Amino acid sequence: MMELGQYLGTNAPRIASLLAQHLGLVLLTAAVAAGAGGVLGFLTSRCPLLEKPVAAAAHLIQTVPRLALIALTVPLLGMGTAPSLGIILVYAVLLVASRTAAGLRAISPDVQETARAMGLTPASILLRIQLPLALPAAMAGVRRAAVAAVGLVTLAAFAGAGGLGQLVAEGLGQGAAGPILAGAVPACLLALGVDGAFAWLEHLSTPLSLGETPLLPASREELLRRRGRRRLAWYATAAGALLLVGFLLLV
Amino acid sequence: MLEFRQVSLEIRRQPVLEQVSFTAREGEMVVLIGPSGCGKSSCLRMVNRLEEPTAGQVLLDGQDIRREDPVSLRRRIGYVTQRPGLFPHLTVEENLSLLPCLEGLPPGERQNRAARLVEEAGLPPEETLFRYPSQLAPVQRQRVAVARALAGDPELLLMDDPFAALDPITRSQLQDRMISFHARSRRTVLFVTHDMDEAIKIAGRICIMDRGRVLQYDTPENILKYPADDFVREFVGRGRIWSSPQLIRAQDIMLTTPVTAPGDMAFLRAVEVMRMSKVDSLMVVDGRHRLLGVVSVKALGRRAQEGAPAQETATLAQLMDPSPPTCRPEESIVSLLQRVNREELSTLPVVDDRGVLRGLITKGSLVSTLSRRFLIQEGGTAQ
Repeated sequence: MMELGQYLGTNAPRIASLLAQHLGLVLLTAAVAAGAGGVLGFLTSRCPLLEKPVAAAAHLIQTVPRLALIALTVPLLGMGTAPSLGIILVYAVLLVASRTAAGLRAISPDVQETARAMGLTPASILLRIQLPLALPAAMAGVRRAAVAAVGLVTLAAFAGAGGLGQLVAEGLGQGAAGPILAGAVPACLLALGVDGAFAWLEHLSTPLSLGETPLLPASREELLRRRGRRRLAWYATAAGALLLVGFLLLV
Repeated sequence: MLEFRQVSLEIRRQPVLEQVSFTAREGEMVVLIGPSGCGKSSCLRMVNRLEEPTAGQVLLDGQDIRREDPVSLRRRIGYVTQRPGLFPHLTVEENLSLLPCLEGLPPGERQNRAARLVEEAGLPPEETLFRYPSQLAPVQRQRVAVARALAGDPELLLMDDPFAALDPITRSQLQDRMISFHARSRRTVLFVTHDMDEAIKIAGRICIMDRGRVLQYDTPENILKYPADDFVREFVGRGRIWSSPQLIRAQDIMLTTPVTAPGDMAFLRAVEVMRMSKVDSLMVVDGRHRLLGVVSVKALGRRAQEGAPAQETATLAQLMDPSPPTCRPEESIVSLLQRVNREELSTLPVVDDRGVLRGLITKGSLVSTLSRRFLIQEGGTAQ
């Protein structure tokens, strides 16, 4: 305990910087996964040929031991942040893609056909029907990808990347408890925090009438009130996210 | 207004429709019916291009629908299916306003439109518009779905067994609504069902299909009375016309060769004729078979008792009832029964609008017609 306290005291700046780096990598992964994964998932749902390969690849990459996955990049691409970040991105994108495709497939075929039969343009169908209905599933995928990214980035330190894993690696090498704890504990807390944050995002992106506790308004006022609250929550979250990103960039 | 011209459809090499041709007139309610897999739904879906024919053409107002952009075509056509397909993440109002919104209608007008549509569908706007589909009962959802189909004021309405998932009472109510709505709006409707009673109740014309072919396309009455072949007869059901007794008419059940006599026939000769033909009345007709009067044994008997002079040389023209109760050939059995009961008639001549005697309804012929209903149910022959 005393060791940890001492170690924390003397190395606080470094720990903070590694934490920021770690978080930055995780957020980067989440962003890329959401974007590219979403697009890939959408394409997969449109094109039946892609369905099997994407699903198989996603399953494969989640089954293989993660340390091995990271470590394999070293002989192929060398040490450092970039190679392992590459494989982490692939992991995250595949995960989000398969979840998004599943979410799109889960949309009731009646709804899809009705949308077509009404005379909605394909763009309208995508934007107003498919996107809102598949977003919760996609966000759930991003959440899982982000949490996985925390772990993967920790492991990536062993392949020469930055982040809290470096402390763990040093600690293990020296046999010293201080660095290990200084690296592992924040990593755990970070994972929980990321999970919580993305759970909140997942909640926000679920339409009011869907989800585990759907809104069943008893009056027009109630509906408007809840929608107002939801809108406010979105703005607040967006503002908070921007602040966080700005903060990380400065640091 | 809507024409199918030699339309064929193959799905994965299997024929679904074979050379289907029929026309729906403007403002008509056409019902497609047939056993499962006969292709009726596919026919419907070809009109709004959810499916494309392998051969043949579908023409709307004379123009091949393939010439038009599918999106704009579909906006002119309303579509309702068995399952409402309402968008679960949108309120009822938003569901109804989606298309108007995309077409640039301002919010105030959209709201008014939505309220009007909901009201026409029989639902209270203030209670319904702000709710989500999950809060509505199935029949309410179906009503909203119909309202949504009408949101764009379409010229043609396609309905694919929309009431199948509802209980019989609600189904009947919605059918009644459908009938009155159609009478009011005079829109062309293409309605698919598997329920023969529903078809007979609401259709202007019924198109009976089996295995991709049209077997008969006619009014409900004609299909009930003159089925095109054995399949149609069995499919319609032998006793089904009894569910719509108003369609059974005098001309369907009358005796077609009543015993007639000219006005100048002598009284004694007439009695002889009645005795030999075993009838109790004679129809007095002129050279062109127009009804002049009726002579009945009973009436003759009464006159004799009253002591009318010179019976033997009297002619029928002098003895007949010159203005007997008659009926028209189109009169329904329901009305005939009412009259026979009310006026205590034993014979009712069937006379057309030129006064020509077409046939005769007697109490006996009514009894034998009605008894056919029960003989049919016991496996007898159809009428």
